[in-house]
Amino acid sequence: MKKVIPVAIICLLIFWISRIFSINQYPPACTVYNIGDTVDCGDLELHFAGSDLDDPDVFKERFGIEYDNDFGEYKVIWICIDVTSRSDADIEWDDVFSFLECGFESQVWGSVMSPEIDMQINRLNSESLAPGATQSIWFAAPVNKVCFKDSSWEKIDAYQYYYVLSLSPVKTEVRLEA
Amino acid sequence: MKVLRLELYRAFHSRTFLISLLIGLSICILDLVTFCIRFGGSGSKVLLQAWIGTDYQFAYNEMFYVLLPVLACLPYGGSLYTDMKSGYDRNICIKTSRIKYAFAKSAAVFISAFASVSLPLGLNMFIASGLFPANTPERLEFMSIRVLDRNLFAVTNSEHPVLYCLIFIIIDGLFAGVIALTSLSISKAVRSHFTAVVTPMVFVVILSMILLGDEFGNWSVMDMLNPRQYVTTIWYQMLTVFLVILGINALVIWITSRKRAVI
Repeated sequence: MKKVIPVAIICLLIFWISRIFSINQYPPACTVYNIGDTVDCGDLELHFAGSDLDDPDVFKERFGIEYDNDFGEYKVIWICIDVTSRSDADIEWDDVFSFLECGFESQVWGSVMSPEIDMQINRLNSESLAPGATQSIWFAAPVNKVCFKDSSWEKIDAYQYYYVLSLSPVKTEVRLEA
Repeated sequence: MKVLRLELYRAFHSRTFLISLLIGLSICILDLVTFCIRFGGSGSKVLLQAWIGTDYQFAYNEMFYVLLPVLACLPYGGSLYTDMKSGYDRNICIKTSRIKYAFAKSAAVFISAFASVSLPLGLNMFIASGLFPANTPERLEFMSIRVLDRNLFAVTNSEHPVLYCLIFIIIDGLFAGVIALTSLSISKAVRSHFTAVVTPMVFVVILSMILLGDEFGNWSVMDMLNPRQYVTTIWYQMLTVFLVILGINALVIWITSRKRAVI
């Protein structure tokens, strides 16, 4: 009996360690696109036209908008996606936006797109996306200094940022150029 | 050193060490069971969501970190008080110096406190690792703790979640050790074993209410030990608090050990 318990414990440990190895064998899949890529998504074709990390003044001048952040110093990251309809019927803008919108992230930061900014920078050409029509859609989010250490903020442009299109079933993201 | 071996033996074979370990393990296992019942079948959860240190969805994380000073002091923190009350310390100090006895006692208290806090956290992580993969949680799901660049070990949290858990298990264990030394240093001033064990928790809770953190930092022990990092802690704050608690306790223990006459 004295030998049984230690042997049982060792067997259990070996089993559990092998279980740990087996469930970590398959890391989650992730599809990464780059700026300039064009992706066929069935009824929609997406072309990732551009992105940048702007200082507030540059951003406001680029889009001609008024935007102020309540969290102190910040920059704005944005992406432009040219959406073309490959469908035979009109696609509602709600459906288009819900297909595209998720958020921005980097290794040590993440944020959903800002509805407040998106409302101001997007100019939709029609009531819905007509068959064969193309519309440029911008998504943006503030990158606030409070999220970063002072030393990191000085080289904020050096981080690699991604725009995440979807998280399931497979994570799909766009590598941004900032 | 014989007296060190003796103190370590007493610490790890005491009923209070077992009780502390059982309380810690119960909280950790209950958290994991609750998490599995609630989310176990979904297949999308990861280790950093299930481990008690970073599981914000249930109350067990808060319970563990509020009780951490008690879990640390319970195993052997009140032993100096009971030794002084029973006269055991006078017997020991016939065969060894009081300073050596104090050192051995402090080491035993520190190591037993480290074990009583780290073992439940480590076991919880070990079991959770076999149930959930150690992938990085998706930031944009907002179903896990959000460790940003401003927080400690942000890159480690993102790239090596297991290492992040291990780092905080060690930090929590080290702080448990120095908090338990507070029980030793106040042993001469208290009137019961219970007071010696519970007083450090009172200090920690009161200080956490006074030293509320903000985006520029946090000096509260209770908040800086929690791997959830819902307040920003800067590395030198953690190091300073650790060294201050260690220094004050070491000084008090040394002074009280020198002053008390054996005969």
